[in-house]
Amino acid sequence: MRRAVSFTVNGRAVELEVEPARPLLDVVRDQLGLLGARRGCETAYCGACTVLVDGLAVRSCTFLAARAAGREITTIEGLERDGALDPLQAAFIEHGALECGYCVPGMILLARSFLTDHPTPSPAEIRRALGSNLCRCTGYLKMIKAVEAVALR
Amino acid sequence: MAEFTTVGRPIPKLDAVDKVTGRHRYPLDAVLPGMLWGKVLRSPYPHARIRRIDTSGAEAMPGVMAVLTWRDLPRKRVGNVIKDQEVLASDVVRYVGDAVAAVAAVDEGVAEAACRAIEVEYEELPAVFEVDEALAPGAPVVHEDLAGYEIRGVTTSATIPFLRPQGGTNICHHFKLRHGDVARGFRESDHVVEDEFSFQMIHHAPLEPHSSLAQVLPSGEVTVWSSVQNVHRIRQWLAEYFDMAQSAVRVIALKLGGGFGGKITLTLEPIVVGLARKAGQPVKIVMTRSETFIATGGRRPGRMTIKTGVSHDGRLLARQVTILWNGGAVSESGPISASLTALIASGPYRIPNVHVDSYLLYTNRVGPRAFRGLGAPQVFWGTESHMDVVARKLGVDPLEFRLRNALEEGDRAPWGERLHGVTLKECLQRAAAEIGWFDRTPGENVGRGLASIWKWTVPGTLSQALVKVHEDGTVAVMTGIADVGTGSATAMAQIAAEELGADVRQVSVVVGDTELTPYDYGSTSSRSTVHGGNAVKEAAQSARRQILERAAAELGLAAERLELRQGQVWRPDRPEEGIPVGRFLQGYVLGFGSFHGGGQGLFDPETGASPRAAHEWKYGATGAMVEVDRETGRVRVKRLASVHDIGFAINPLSVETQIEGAVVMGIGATFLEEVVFDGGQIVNPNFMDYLLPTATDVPDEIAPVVIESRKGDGPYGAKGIGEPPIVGVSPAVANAIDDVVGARIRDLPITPERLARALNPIPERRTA
Amino acid sequence: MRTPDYHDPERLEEAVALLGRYGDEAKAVAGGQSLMVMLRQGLVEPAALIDLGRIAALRGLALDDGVARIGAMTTIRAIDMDPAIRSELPTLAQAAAAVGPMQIRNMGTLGGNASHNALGADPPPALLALDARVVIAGPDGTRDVAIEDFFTGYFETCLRPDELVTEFRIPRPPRASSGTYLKFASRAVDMAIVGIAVLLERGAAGLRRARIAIGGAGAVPFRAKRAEEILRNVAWSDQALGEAGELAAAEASPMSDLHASAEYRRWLVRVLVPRALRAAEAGPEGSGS
Repeated sequence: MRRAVSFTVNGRAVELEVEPARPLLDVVRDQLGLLGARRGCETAYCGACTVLVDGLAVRSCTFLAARAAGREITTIEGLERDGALDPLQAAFIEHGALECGYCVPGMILLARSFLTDHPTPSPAEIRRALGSNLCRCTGYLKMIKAVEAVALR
Repeated sequence: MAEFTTVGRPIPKLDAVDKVTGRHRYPLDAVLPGMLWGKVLRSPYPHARIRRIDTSGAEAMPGVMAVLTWRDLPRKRVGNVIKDQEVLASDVVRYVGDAVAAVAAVDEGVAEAACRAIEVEYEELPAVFEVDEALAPGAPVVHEDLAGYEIRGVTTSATIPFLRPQGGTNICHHFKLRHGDVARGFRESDHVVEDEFSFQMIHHAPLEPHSSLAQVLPSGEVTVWSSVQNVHRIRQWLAEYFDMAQSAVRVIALKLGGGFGGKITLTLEPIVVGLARKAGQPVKIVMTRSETFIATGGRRPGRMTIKTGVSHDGRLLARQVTILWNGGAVSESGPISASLTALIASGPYRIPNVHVDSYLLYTNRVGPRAFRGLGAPQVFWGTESHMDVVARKLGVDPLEFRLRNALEEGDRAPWGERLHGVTLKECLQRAAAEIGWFDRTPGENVGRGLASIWKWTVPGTLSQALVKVHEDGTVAVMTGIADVGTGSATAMAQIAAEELGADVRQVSVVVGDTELTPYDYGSTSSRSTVHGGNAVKEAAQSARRQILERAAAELGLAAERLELRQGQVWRPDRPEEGIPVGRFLQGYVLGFGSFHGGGQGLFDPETGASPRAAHEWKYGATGAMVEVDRETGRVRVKRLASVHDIGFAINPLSVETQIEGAVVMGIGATFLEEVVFDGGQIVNPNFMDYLLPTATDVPDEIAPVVIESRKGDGPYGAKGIGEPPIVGVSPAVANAIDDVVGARIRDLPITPERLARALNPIPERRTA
Repeated sequence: MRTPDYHDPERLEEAVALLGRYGDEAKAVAGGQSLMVMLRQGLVEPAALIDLGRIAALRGLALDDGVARIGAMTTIRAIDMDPAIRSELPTLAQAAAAVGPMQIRNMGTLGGNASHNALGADPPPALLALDARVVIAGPDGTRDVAIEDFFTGYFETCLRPDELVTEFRIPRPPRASSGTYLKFASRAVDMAIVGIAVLLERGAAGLRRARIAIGGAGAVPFRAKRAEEILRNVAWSDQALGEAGELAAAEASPMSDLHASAEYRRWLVRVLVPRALRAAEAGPEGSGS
């Protein structure tokens, strides 16, 4: 039984008919056409589907669509401000913190959420935070450096 | 004045901004209007005869547009080397996950429900799962018709033409290396050490699952978008399977979300083509994560015994190795792996007597696939761990022991090939220095371990490229290599920019489309930089020559006196006046380049002798520093040095990231990862129970060290880097653990429990 | 997979009534972290989902009158980051911080976590060490149970299908007390293979009373009472701590699974209980091992 749900996505107000128990990931990809949130597993362990809900990193594959009501959803496509890259996005590029790039949107949003909660993290805390998502290509070290660089600014 | 303008510079990937903004598209994202979704029905049994398939329940379901079984497909087998696999099983299923039927429907949910409605009657057959079982006399035979299976010739893949599968057994392939006289060598030895090691299956686990989308037009044109590392060979195999002209088949791989060797084989492509034909609409299948584990195997597991004879003064005199590879039910790249790993089982050392038997065995488990290193990491796990065991027995420092026996420039390998560019000693010494080999403090609770690295690139493969220079001086590179995430596309752009004197930001790269990009064997075996790079370099040079020749003709000057820089032609008599190339071009200039790697993979079937077994050999060394919690068995890797002679780093930033990524994959293989089987069932086909390393599992420090010998066969003396770093991690770590706690672990992964059991009186595990 | 009915009541009574109406066939959704995974994998096929997200009565975090009251829908993150919980209930704060991935801490709830009672979950042993009481709402009103009676078996609690946890009540430990949570897992994001929660109360003459609760080493988290007993009113020494470890190990009834054998879990209890005790003694530090 679908229902109308109103929320904002990347600063834009939307109203959609959704299956309330459908994962937000499917809504974001299939109904909103935002493909930066990715599908990597079925057991909610990879984090490639990470989006921000009211600024907090959330796995959109386990987030019920109905719960988006009244919330502010941010996907990777919404991280830029007036055409300028978020410092984390720029840092990932500068530090070479990406290979195939599949996990990168999730990682950047995860880091963004983390830095909001912990603006002056230790290197160990950064490692622990990034440890929430999987990457198979880079070995994580450059990502850690990129987040450190942004945190130090 | 710098030697180069563009190559050798650590520039960020050209598509980095697309990736960090989520705009980058993967094969998994491909959609077509009217597209249907497909699902595959897979066998729940490891070995069974199919008595009956009843698809009526699925066909009657609303929303189902096509159901596929073996009856809808050519009666042929497919395979990379030996054609030992059916696309959909007609008679016998040989592993849990073997494809039996497929459905195309309006959405995934309906397709899945339809699969469940297909009734298959199986008659279970006895099965074999382990190498010992497969070899036992009277064992159930996985492939009864093995003797009649077709084997691909040497021109279509770098293969071993003498492959002689032993019909009536589970022996798919047996490679022999015979050099000198091991019996005499052991007699002459002062010490003989025997060892046994095992190595587990680990999965590629690329973040992007496998997917394929097929469109079949009534004219017969077929287009497939697939997550594959080698579009041209996939196209060739697909056309061959369906008896179609290659000109009618197009395979496109947008840049992949990781491959690591798991995406070089026909997997979903024939199924989606079959479904699309039947349904009259495009069909797409995306594997679930658990399906990627169950239907596509990881690296080849197995066991090895190794016996080494040494003189009292630490010289290697004899080595005998037997490797038993668990090849699952589908051999895939197994014969190539089993052969080339037999060669390196002597290690990169001077040993006068070497005897290796490498057996590839069939079992009723999912067929393993080519995995970063193609078996070298598994074999070096054994041989490089064993080197330390021997060194300790002799009381010789493990570094000194390796240096004393290391191969040197111009040496002959045990199979007769003369080796060049041998920089092993330098790599070992550097790795040792990086982990403070000579800076030990008494009482410090730190272990240090080393491992040599030796890795081939498959011989006799081809890469071609086109380089276009447009009228405005900007450049497009068309290369058949797939960009699986390694940064190869950016490296190609740098090479083209270097040769054309262009700004690299004005170079675009087109990859992975059989219609647009010339032939490439594929992004495997660490070959892209060398083969793809050489092809691009030649193509760019050709384009440059053509431009300067036209300019010369028009300007009335000799072409050798003209320069090409920043999209302009420069003449020596007017150094401030660059002339835009458009002045000399109508349309664009097209340069073509081609590179065929040397070596042919031809081996003597009895001795393994070969004048050139690989296109190129790469040398390196790993050094590990560890701390061990003796009670819990938890190991902390403080520092991991990965030293490689890469000839020349086209992009040092990319090289560093490749090394780090491969090292962390090696850390996963060492401590965390294992595809666990219960008989024929995979117990952990998901990321909850299959433990990939996370950011908290990486070493405190990774030191990627690059030696640029300029001795590679690639552009500017480059060699490849994709695989070597993973080869030395497990043995270096095990050697470091032994160094500090005196415990030798011979099985992987080295979980805390495994190590804790070696160090503490923990009761045996009772089978729960 | 049929689509379940979806309800998101605003009132607790409505939620209870809905659960009663569907009987075994409905699943309550708290953080959704465990449930959604099971749904996707087809491990559960409920007729209905009762989303608790809008029920105000399940929220709230307050420390007063000597009791910490934590609403069932309080997120793990909120517990981890609350300054009062960090200083007053470090055992619980550290257990919350130890819960795997950040996204799970952001969405997961204490009530959901406890109700799921997964093997190796981090909050349950902390709740046990802190002598929490669990307030449960059902069709006949509310009841409250001791945490020891709440966890009844492997992935089982005393909750009936038509009941919900509404709140946890944790007595504030006395002034001079300290606590810690020590987790041993394959990776930081995983469930604990063994998780040890400790609360130390200091009495007169510097002697201590310890409460030691262990997760991962039995079908349910348990208090290692004999280990606690041996430490009561004795001077701490390496030997005493070692004995406590051995006793705790003997009290465990661990199971083997893919990630660790029963014997290794028992061994870990033995070697990690002393470490957890020392860490609690030293003051709130990291929770990893």
